[in-house]
Amino acid sequence: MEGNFIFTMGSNFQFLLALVRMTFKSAVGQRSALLIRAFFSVITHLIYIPVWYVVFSVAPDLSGWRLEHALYAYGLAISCWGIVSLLAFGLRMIPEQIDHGELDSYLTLPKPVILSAAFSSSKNTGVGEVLFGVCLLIFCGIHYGFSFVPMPFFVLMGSVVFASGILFFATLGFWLKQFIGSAEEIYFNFNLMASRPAPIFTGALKIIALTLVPVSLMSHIPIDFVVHHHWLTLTYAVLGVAAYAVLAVSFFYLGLRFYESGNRFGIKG
Amino acid sequence: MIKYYHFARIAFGDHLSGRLRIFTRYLIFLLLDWVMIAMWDLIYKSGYGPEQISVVDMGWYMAFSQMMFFLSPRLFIVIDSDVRSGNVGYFLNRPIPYLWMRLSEGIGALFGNLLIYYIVSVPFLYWMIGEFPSTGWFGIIAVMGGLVLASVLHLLFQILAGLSTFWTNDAIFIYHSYQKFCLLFGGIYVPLALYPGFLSGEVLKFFPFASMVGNPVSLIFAPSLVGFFEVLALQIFWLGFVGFGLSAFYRLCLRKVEVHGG
Amino acid sequence: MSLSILVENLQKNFRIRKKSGLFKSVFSPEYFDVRAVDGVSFSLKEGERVAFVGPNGAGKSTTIKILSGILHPDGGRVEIGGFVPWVDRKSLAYRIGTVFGQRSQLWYHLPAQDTFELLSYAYDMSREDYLSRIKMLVDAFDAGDIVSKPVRQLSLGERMRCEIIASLLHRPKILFLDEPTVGLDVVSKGVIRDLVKKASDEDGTTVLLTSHDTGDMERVCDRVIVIDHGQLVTDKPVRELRSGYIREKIITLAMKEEAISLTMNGVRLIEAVPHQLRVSVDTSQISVEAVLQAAMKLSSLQDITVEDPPMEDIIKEIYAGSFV
Repeated sequence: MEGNFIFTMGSNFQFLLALVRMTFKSAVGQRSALLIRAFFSVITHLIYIPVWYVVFSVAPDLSGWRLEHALYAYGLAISCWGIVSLLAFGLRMIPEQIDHGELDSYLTLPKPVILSAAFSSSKNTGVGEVLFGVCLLIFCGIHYGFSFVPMPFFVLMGSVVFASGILFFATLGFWLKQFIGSAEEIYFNFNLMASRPAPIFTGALKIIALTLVPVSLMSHIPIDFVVHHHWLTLTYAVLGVAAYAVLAVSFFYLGLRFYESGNRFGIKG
Repeated sequence: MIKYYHFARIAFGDHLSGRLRIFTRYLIFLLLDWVMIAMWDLIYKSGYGPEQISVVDMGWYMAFSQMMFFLSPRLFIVIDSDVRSGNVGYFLNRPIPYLWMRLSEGIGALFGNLLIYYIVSVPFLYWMIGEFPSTGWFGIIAVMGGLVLASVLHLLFQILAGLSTFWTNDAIFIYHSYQKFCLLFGGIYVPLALYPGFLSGEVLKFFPFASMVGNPVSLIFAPSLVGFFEVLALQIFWLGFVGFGLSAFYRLCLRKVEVHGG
Repeated sequence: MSLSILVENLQKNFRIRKKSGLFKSVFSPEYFDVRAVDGVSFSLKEGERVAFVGPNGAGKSTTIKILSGILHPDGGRVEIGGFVPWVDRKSLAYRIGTVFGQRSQLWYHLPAQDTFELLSYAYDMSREDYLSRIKMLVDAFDAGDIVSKPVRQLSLGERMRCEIIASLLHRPKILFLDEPTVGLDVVSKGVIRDLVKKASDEDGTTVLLTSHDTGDMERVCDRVIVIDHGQLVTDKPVRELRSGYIREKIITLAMKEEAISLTMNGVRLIEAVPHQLRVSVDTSQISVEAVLQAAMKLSSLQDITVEDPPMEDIIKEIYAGSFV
């Protein structure tokens, strides 16, 4: 049965469901500080709206990119941040898991390491972030007339991009010790960059925004679709998302070959 | 004081030995600079650039305002981890207060970063922006001088965020909140002088966030000895104020110290 | 399927940066390789219980992690029932169980039974199989009361019992235990050792155990592999280690007389209290029998005990190189 592809996929999926169930159960069990977290979470995200208000009060139209686009992009970015925090917080913690040798027990399971590493922890503030992001998207839909139909798809697509981006950069932890601090900085700025105006990404910056740090796939192309309905661009973007996810997972498995399980610190010399 | 110096000295060496980590972080800094410079370039090209500031000066302002966040080490992560693991308890029986020991280490690592960022960034920024600021080297040196105490103040806020773990179990989101406050009130995306009326830059410049970013970095536009000392004086005031508050907050935190025992 | 373990010339290096001056370390750092495992070879038959012993940094954990597919070696060959651990990691995972004494596989905030259920999905167990197996293990480990408490509320010994249940859930053919009794009190250590041995006896599970505690190898294992500096020092059955290496016996005499003096070549006084004498005998110089005869001439013996020195002393001497 082990070699059967359908059986393997089915059993991986069952394991994933069990893992997510456990993660939620564990997150619900840790109710401490939930209110204070929720409060700061809302404040954190609310505060960014006047930031963009200030920018667009100086420059109301940046090559067609206006405040409503910035808010839509921010709504997408925050929803994706929340979804990843809620479902796959372990991705963010991969550098710490590497440093502490926590991948050991995942490596001895007959399931993809990445499932256990990614889905075995959850941040309950993610609920607030998803709600905030979705509310912002709905506000954009109502106030600025953006279509509601593709929103769930864009949130899903952006979450895959963001999760893949986190995985890609977290993987550097296999080579860089105590990388969690820098990694968090990367995730935070990755997410912030997704809400920067698309027209500033030209030339080499555009290439970076479509490849290494694909914030364009996360927010710029979805917004372009909302405004101009460019199906072909969206199709390419979907392919790009899939390719980036494959790249991130492959990079992780490459890094796994260099996993030291914390043993380096245990040897004499 | 000598023991604080030694903690800082060891942290300086330890920080600089993490070359790959420094390199990776520097790349992020350059990328962010690039994006912010490109954003203001577009604003000027779209005809919205403020007349009193040239696009070149604005580019240098953006670059230095991003730099402040990269000069300090991520101290709140260390403190967060100490609190969560209970390790903070093991430092209490040492003849050096935990709070100031971590600050000394932070300052040691900060000086490591100052060395790298100040030396390496000028040619990179010149290459990205295309020209030196209109105020020349005087402006650059004034900003660099102003960012030293700004970064120490940022370290104090980081310690505050780190200690909040005693109540929140997680300093990261507190730090992110603080960072967003800096974005809004510090003048990171837009110089405080250009803020719209209801968010008066004239008022905001007295906030600690402006002392970390907007005030010292604005020296790039019009550096002067008087201006520099004004910035410095306000920074010293906030360092004292936040330092005093931090000390009181730390005493409150000590009541919650838990060490996992056998 | 037979799951024997074959290890040949196994090597694993870790790259460490040399300490040097500040500028040198920043601009031209130098590195050196530390050989954590340096050409280790051994094999295990199915059902064997082997202790892997060595001082800190000897390469025990690194070896066991290579064997369980966690680490990639830099050289050598490992085959476990035809599988190469780091290549066939997933296939092998169905057949092995692991316990790392210093790392937990249990979810900290949830009861251990939740982790067991999650693991049943990881190992593709049917519900009926899982329920009957977990009932059997919980009964065998007398863990009925502890599996329903959040792991954070368990003592270290209770947690370790749960860890072993988790590792045995899928009926592994091989059990790798990395310092399973580290930090435990004497009673808990005894419980864990007995449980591992019992489980191995009942299911014919091969056990490879690393430990600093000689009690683990004496109570659980039949064979000992000693490594140091990444190299194999000795590989012997536990009883041979005793008989082959012991040149010393401890004799305790209880007598009517208050004190006697046993001054002979090869006899060293350990302790003398009224009516009792404890001496160490170097058997290469004098036989135990000769010492006892001399003692009987000097006193009216009421009790005699002849012991081997503690296994810990034997291992210490092996580390020191006396027996290599």
